[in-house]
Amino acid sequence: VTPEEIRTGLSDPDVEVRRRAVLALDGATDDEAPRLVLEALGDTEWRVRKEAARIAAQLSRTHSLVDELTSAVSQGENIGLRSAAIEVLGLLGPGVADRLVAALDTVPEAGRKFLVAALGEVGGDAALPALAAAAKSDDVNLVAAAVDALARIGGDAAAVALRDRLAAGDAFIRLAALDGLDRIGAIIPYEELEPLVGDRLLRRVALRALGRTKTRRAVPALREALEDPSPHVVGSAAASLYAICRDVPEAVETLAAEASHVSTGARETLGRLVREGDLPTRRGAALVSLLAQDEANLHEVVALAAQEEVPPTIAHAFRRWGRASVPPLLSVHEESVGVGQAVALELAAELAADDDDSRLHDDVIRSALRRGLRHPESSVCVAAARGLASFATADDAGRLVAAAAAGPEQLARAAGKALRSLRERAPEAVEAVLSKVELDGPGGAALTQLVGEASGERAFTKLSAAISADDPRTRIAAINAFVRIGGSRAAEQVGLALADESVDVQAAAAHALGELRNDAGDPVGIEELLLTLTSTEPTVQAAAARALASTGEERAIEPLRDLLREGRPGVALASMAALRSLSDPSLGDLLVEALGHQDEEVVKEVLAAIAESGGARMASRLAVGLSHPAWDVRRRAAELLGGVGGPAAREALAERQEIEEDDLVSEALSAALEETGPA
Amino acid sequence: VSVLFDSGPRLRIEEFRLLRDLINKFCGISFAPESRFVLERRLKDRLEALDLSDFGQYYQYLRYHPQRFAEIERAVECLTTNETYFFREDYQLWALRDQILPEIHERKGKREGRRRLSVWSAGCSTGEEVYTIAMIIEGSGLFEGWDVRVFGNDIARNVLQTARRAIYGPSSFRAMPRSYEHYLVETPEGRQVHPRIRAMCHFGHLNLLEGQRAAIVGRVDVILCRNVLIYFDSESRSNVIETFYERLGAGGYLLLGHSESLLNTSTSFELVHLDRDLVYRRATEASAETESDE
Repeated sequence: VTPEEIRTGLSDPDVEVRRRAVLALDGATDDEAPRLVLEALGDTEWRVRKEAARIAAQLSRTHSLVDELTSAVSQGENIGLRSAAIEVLGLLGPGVADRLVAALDTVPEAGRKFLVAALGEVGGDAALPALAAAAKSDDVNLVAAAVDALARIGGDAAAVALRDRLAAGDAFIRLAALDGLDRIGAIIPYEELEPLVGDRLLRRVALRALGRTKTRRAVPALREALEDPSPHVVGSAAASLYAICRDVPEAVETLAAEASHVSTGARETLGRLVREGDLPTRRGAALVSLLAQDEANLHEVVALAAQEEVPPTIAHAFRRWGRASVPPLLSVHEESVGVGQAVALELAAELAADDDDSRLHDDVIRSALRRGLRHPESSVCVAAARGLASFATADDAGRLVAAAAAGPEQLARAAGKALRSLRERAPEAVEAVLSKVELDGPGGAALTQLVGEASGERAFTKLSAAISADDPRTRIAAINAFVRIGGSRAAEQVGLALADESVDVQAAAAHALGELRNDAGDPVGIEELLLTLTSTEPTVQAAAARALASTGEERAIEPLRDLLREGRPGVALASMAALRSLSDPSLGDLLVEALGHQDEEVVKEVLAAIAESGGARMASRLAVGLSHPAWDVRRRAAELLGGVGGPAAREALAERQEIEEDDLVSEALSAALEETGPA
Repeated sequence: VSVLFDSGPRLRIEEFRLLRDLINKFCGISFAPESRFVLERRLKDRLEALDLSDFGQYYQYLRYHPQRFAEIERAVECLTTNETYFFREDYQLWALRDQILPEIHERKGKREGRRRLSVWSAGCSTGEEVYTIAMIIEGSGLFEGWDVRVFGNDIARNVLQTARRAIYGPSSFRAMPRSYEHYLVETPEGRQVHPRIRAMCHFGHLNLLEGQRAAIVGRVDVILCRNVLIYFDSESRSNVIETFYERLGAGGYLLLGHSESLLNTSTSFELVHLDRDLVYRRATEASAETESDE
């Protein structure tokens, strides 16, 4: 496309033709291209301007357009051109900030606020002094633009400039500054915020900011704001109360003392907010309702708990209410449907069980749990089974076995756990029902586990049947049970499972053989495990590798070395761990080679082995991990170097700290540097 | 696994990030740092099921085990499944019944030959929404003689088994209008959706991030994707929206959850103000080739 065709295209009445003409400027190098693209930036159609902005930013690499863009920003006729020019400058970034700052003194007064807005898009430290100065100007419009730009750039210096404007005479400037500080999440001292809370205009934003102060001193002011007639203000206060109680656990006690004074009207608002607010507000309103022991809002709080996991702060508030909350929770359970019904029952059972003195006499909760176990909703059955772990009596053994046998899997596990607890209180009742149960189906695994915890010939016979059950999970549970029993007979049963059709069962059998010992206390199945190292299934190979490590068998070292070099990542990882455990004498050479393994989990294991191996070059080898592309490898290397200590480790850590960008790695580097002590 | 009391293994910060990133790579779902306790609580059940003692082992299971893909689906199911029920958020369903379906009937009904209505419930969980839509279509009486298909997909296979079985407990019917109850039949295990409605519904296992695989859904008239996009990061959300755009025929509708919008996502959808709802629509003047694979 020739420049002439582009020029013609840019004047075409059809938007699409103009847009394509701009696209044709992509990669253009001739001298006319900048002029054409600047013309397109002023097009009446946003789609054309959007393409032009992108291409203008590219062209700026070879042709400086900053002066033209600055003029376009400060002109007052074409708003589209101005916005597009600001967008281009934003794409050019902090490198052009100096030139924009210089232009502030030369552009017409009416255009300065737009240039200030452009500085906010451009960003960078160089823009901050000029913006801070503009924020103190007498021109309210310029101040508003500067405050917004400072908030866009963010950072400590911007926050300082914004805080300075909190004392401005104009209320709207104070609001803009406070809003800017809110946008960047700045922490403002309580003393500075307290006077702002009383200002009607600033109240909501000030309340939000109080939530970041991490001081319990803010609690009374926030509690008082709960009485505000505006639900929005109440919501902001509630969300901030939650944030403070989460960050400063002692604040919960301060709020609990205050919460009893919350008026009926405010409680009703809080109830609506638990139901309808955004998540931080819902949590805050739930927290206050719980600390006020407000039974009227409990339904809403339980509904929230059913939708979201109960965070630790809310859990603490429930526990603080304690056993007294059980009757209203049971009412909520009766009145709710679905998951809420299950959660209310489970909460009631947990809080009732927290009081050891009365739980075995609590027929009300026990009856509710027994009813729950027969409920058509599986979630309620699971909740009931979990609760019965604390409240079941001998009479419940049959119910729980029936529930476990019927499944589904989650209910079977919960019922199995309840039976385990019940066995401590009523062993005969549990053994009696287990002796009759068939070990298969949905509850097979959970019940097999229980049978395996019993001793005696009857249990052995049942487990021998379970190891041939239809469900592989039951067969695995039987294998694990045989490990607990131990001895030659158990080992014989498990050995056959290495030929099971399920990979998981084979892996469980390999793992079990590593744990099992014959009647003389010697390892068993070593030949089979060595053979299993050649399995085509990586999971089985990995299990055999770890099992051989448990046996201490030195013949495994050679094949494990091969697997470390050639095996799939999971197998290499297990082989590395096994070689460490077997104290392979040639491990040092292998480690250097394995540091270059493609899988980061393997490399982390190698680093741990290096740290264990000692030697003069240990720190320098661990330091290799600090430049690994995976953040988790670098973090592990930092942790290990911190433990090793010494000047070489310290130097490597400090060097990495200079350039590390990942927050978790940086945190580990700091901790490691601290651990290694002063330079 | 306790609701209130901390017990069992803790999810360390680095394990949280590894698991979070693995899940995000798999299906685009993202978790903010403050969700750590949510992952810890919900995945503890999976650790228990797999007899694993800590989250590091669980991460390695998800990386190396032959069943890793099935397990990551289960993890996603644990982390995202919202309780669903028939006629949930019904104001939007009435917008479908009163304005969207009649408009489609009017527009497509004039065509010669085979007439077809296709609706996609994206992220359908246990299927209540799919059957609800089918009941509304059947109940409207507008589409007799049409080929009607309601397709539901989910990333978790377990929920699809429940969906196909179509038998539900009482809580699934908490918002069911009486006028639709004749679409249910009593069974010893619970109430089941009537075979006539079930015949309109199809289910599939589909990861919404796999845009190309979504072609199996074909061209559709309406997509309902409610309370699903909230779990995605912005990039994945954009990709999924793009897939929806491609799958919708000209004039097709996209209905999102009440707390979801395309405000921060650049899209070609136009916003349509209905009496009861705001919905998104693929422009009717969109190219004719979009209809070609109907």
